[in-house]
Amino acid sequence: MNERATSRRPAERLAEGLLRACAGLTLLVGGALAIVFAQGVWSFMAGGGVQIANGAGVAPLLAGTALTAGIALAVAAPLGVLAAIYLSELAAPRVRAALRPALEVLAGVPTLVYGFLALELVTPLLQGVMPGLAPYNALAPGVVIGVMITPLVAALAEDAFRAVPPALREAALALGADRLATFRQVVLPPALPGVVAALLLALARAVGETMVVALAAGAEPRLTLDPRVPVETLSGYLVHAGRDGAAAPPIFAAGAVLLLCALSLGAAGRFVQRRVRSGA
Amino acid sequence: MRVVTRRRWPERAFHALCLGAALLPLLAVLGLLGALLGRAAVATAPAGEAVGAAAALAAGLGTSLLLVALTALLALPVGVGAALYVAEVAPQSRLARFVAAHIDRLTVVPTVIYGLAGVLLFVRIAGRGQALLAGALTLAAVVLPVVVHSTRRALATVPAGVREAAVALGGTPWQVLRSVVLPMALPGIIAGAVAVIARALGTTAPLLLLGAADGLGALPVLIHDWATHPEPAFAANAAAGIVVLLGMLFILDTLAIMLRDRGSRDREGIR
Repeated sequence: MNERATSRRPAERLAEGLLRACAGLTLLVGGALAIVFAQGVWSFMAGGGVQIANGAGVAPLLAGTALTAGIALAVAAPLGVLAAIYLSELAAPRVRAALRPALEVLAGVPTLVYGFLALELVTPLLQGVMPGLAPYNALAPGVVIGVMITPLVAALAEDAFRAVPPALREAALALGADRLATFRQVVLPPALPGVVAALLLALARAVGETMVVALAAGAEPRLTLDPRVPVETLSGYLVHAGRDGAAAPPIFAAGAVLLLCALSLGAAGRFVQRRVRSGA
Repeated sequence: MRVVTRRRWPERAFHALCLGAALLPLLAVLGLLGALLGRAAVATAPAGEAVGAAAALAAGLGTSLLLVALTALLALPVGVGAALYVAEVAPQSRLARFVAAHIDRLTVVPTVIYGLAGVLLFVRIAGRGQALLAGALTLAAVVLPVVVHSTRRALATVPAGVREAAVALGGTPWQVLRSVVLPMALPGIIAGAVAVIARALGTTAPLLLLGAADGLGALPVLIHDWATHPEPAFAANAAAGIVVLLGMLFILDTLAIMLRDRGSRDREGIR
């Protein structure tokens, strides 16, 4: 063993050193984000928390974020889970092979484009059905974000359904259960935690989603659960305030809150996911 | 002979419901993008304004391409190198496991937050007035986790049997990596890199935060400023900008898919 280690050429050792340096360099990204978070927490304690959104504080921004992300999840959860059931249980292989990449393309459209669609097309469309809807509102961006994260929910939930061994399905079908009963009683119970993880990760994405709410939700921090009126989210505030003035303390305070929300939802999702893997 | 010729109606209804859920988002977005094209066509019609918009779009696209090229130069070598280390060179090492967990966590960080890091750090690293470099550093941080992720996925497609065969022929770990794994994974790695460039091209929020410090005028920033302009006529310009942006992304995505397909065709010859 020892002989092999010493017989390695210097070029190989250099290559390994370079690759290790690359791996180490990626940690700088986390380091930079940690500095942003520390700056945010410091700003918050130094009174930046109250100055957020010209004195409105962080509560209305949190409410706006919860409202738009909640609407998004209400749209994406049924669509994404049903699409995942279709892809994993019902679709013919050829249909599945066409549908999956199409959904991936949907996820690749820049969020700026979704924001423009929400502002210029979806809001006017919804105003036709809902006369009380303001030009800026929580409903249109919420629905658009929901459609945007549906492919993510579908992909993660499909993984959860596919992790259930095919032999279990075949056994249920052999016992005379139809496909609906097989899915409900055999596939769904073990896959359920995976579906919950998918929804948590999608919620993390919806909470951090920025351009759609920055463009279409408005810039009025408001403590409300009414989806028809203008609100402002944490991420939207970062863009609006950051665009107007430079790096003021309240911006970093709001940024730290947003980062904390996204990371905790992500961690919760991963926690559930890991428990599924180790439990199965 | 099929025993059950007709499925019962609840099952068929459920089937239709699930298919509808899969198709609805696709049809909705396609319909909206179609309506957007209509808007963009109007944008090019008015005289005088159209020339200004077209020139601004060309300049914005130029800035964006330069910015994205610089981003790729910064992020691709580091990201691919890190993925090679984590997945191939020393997957069991403490550093590799730490880096893998770290990259996992970064995937849920909203991109605006990178804009804050840019304002706080990268503008200073790059120096005042170096808006392009500060922007590229920020975008590089945004896409770095994506590069690592897509490279690892490409490396994972190399069949274990091929690696084992190379080892059985007496290849050292480095020879196996250099002569077998890397060439086989390369089309996938490049396809991932192209997809990452496409992603960087559409990233807007961090640039908006940086733009407060220095006016950079990249394409997405231009679209954002037109979309939020108080004069409603500018919305048509924003629509035209989005068509240009989506056109660029379509070209890049097609390129990525072509590269990926070539890679899988090469591999079939080996099996």
